[in-house]
Amino acid sequence: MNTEHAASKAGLAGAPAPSPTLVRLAGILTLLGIALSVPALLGEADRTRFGFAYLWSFVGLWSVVLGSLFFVGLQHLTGSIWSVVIRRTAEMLAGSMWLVALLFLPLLLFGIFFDQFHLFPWVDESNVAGSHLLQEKQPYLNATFFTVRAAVFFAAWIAFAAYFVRTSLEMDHGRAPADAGGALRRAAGPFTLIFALTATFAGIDWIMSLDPYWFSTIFGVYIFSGMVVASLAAITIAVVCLRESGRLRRDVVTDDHLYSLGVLMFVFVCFWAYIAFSQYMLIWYANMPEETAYLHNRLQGNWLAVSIALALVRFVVPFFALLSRRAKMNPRILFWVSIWLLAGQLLDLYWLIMPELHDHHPVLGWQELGPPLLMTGALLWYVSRFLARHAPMAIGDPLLDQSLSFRL
Amino acid sequence: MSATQCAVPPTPAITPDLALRRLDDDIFRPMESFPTRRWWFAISITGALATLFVVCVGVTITQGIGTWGNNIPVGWGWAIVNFVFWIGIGHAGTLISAILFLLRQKWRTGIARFAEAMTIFAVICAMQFPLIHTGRPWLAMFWLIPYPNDQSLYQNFRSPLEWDVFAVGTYGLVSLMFWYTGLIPDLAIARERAVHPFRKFAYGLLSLGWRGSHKAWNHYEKAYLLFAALSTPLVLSVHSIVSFDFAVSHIPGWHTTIFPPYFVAGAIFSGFAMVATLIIIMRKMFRLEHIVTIEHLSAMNKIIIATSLMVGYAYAVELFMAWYGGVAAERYAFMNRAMGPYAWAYWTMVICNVVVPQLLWFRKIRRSVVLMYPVVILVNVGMWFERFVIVVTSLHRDYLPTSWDMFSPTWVDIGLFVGSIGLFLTLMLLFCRFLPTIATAELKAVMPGSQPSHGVNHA
Repeated sequence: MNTEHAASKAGLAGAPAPSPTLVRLAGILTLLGIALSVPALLGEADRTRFGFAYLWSFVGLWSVVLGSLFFVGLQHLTGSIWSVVIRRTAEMLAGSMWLVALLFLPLLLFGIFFDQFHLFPWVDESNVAGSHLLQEKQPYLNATFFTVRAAVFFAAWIAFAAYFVRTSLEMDHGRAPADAGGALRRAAGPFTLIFALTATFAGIDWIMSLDPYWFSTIFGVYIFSGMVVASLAAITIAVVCLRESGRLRRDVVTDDHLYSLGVLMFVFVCFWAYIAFSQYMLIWYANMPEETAYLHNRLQGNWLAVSIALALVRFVVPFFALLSRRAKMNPRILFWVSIWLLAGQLLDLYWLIMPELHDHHPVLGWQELGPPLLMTGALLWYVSRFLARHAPMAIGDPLLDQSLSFRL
Repeated sequence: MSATQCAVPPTPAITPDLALRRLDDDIFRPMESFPTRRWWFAISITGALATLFVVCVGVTITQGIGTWGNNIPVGWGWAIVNFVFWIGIGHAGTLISAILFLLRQKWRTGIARFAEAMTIFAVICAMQFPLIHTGRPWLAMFWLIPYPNDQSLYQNFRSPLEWDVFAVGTYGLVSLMFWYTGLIPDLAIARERAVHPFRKFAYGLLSLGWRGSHKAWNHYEKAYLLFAALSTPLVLSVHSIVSFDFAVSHIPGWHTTIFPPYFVAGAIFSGFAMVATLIIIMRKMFRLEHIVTIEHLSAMNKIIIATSLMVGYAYAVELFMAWYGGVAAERYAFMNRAMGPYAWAYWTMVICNVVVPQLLWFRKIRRSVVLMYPVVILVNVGMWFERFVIVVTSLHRDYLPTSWDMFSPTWVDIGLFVGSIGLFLTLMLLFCRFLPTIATAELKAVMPGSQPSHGVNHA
């Protein structure tokens, strides 16, 4: 790879340029988020609600970013050709891992050490003293080990994200070492392994341990399946927007590339349903109290409606929306299905997290809205910054030529 | 751009210097010549083992399943182990022909036919075990298949064992139709090449009057795509439902929610190991090394290592959750697995399925037939032991320590298992003689020059 080669490709994608609309949108959302968060932090009851909402939206953001990192790693691992022209958007999202780590700190501080949010029952000494089971689990569920684990997770994710993204950006300018492609592929193998373990245990720590009595071996896979759908949706939204705005040329990112994204999304929509059904059916069928309680909480009162909506939103609607070949190639349909799927991810996480605070009745008020707005704003701010500095396509990738000519 | 910078060259479907004319000759030669001495030697051994199977089935039917090692508490013994083992083997074929087809993996073409045939024979072997386990298999139809009756007696539709009947039945049928559909153009080639009138007649009958017209190909392609789409959920559903047989129960070690995806990953793992085990011999025996190349074996090895890691993940998560869940019986079940009297079986499973396949990370081992062969053989062993561990060690120490017991197989158990391998290999050997082992027509479609606009390197 040389500079000349990269330069000849520069015309394929729009030059890095700031996007005032995106900056404005990010600013408005962030300010709105802060405006709603501050009053929520003042009262004791509102503070708990804020804490749960913060965890909810944090996990949502994390799933999109880590899922994008997984997408990047998977493309390198499989030597995928079709995805080279759209991989940069995934790299862009994955590159915000440091931001996710930053947003985790308040959770660690006020959720674990000062326990202002009353998120995790196992943090509270009085709960532990009264429960044999929690004492049994203390070697795993304690503040120190929780922090160490989170530190290890973020260290691994940030390191891999930095490596994947930096190398790809260096390729843009022909500054990457000669065998960068091979090095990326070799790193992708161990990455996938580390990803599987860290994502699973992060899911257990941050979501499952909200109900420390409950357990399910498939939970890591469940979190993974939702994460992949959410990140594919985010990547698709970014690709379609960049294409509509002219930053990615239509003859470069073709309908065939979009179709491949659509297929992946469709596959993982089905995969999520498969995993969700497996978990639900096996727990329902065996009907053992230590497991069923979790589902029971989510099927009583108005939560039943949320549970039914979850199946419709995450599976039935997107399944039929994406079933036809034409839909998978239509940027407008893909865009709206992706928005829908991101909402589905938030609904899923809401369904996992919120019943621990509100049994019988799902609650969604202004106290819950601050964190999601804040985090969306933060992510968009990061995206606008990235797009102002870097090309929207991996123009220096050695496989780009083949990817450009990819046809179904 | 130099070749070294290309991150991963896509696995080619075929070696580039292969001529179209030679392809037919190479693939159809084994079908058209008198079997070699090696083939007769092989089938005499496998045929003897298949006969042993028939004998053991006879013993089971005439004297009852008391001739097996099953006892209380181990009410499910080798029969279920073998059933799950063979069903697992039967997953590679449809995965290769359906899922890899949808994923546009063109290299699959070279091995698809062989793997599909293997799938069908493995499903045949698998179905024998639950059938003879019913004790009176000639009545099984009344017990397993719902039919209108005037006694208001119906199957227990809430039992996953009944779901198995439908899942495995559907899978077997669809796999068979998928396989046959793919065979039709190749059978037509065999018909055209046949010299003897009887061969011409037989292959003519089987090829359903295929003329290779534009319209026929059009229908064929559509049917293939539809079959692929329909088979994909089946690949996942069969072993998921097999896993439900265990996971819906309350038995510690059986009831765990990760079972469905874990079983599916294990099935694909064992299926690919078996395909590799047999295709290495087949390509050598029939001199097809230039069609089933080291690239194919290497690609399969990559799938083996991926699924090995998935299985290893499931083992690890199960262990962790057994501790984390805090349920005493669950904790004991896993302690007993790893440190009880069957610890040797558990560690055999872990070593064969998780430790040994890690060797395939090395490119040298992945691309050397001699080095990879022991690995895939051990995977076959390990996957049998996985089912043994799940079935026997979870049962042999139940809730009541007074009824704890060990399981020891009888000669009938061993005869049935070894015999089923014989049955399977006999069917494979017959397949290699009478049907084209490579999807010739499909292979031609992915040969260089056949798709001018679909070349990899055109600018």
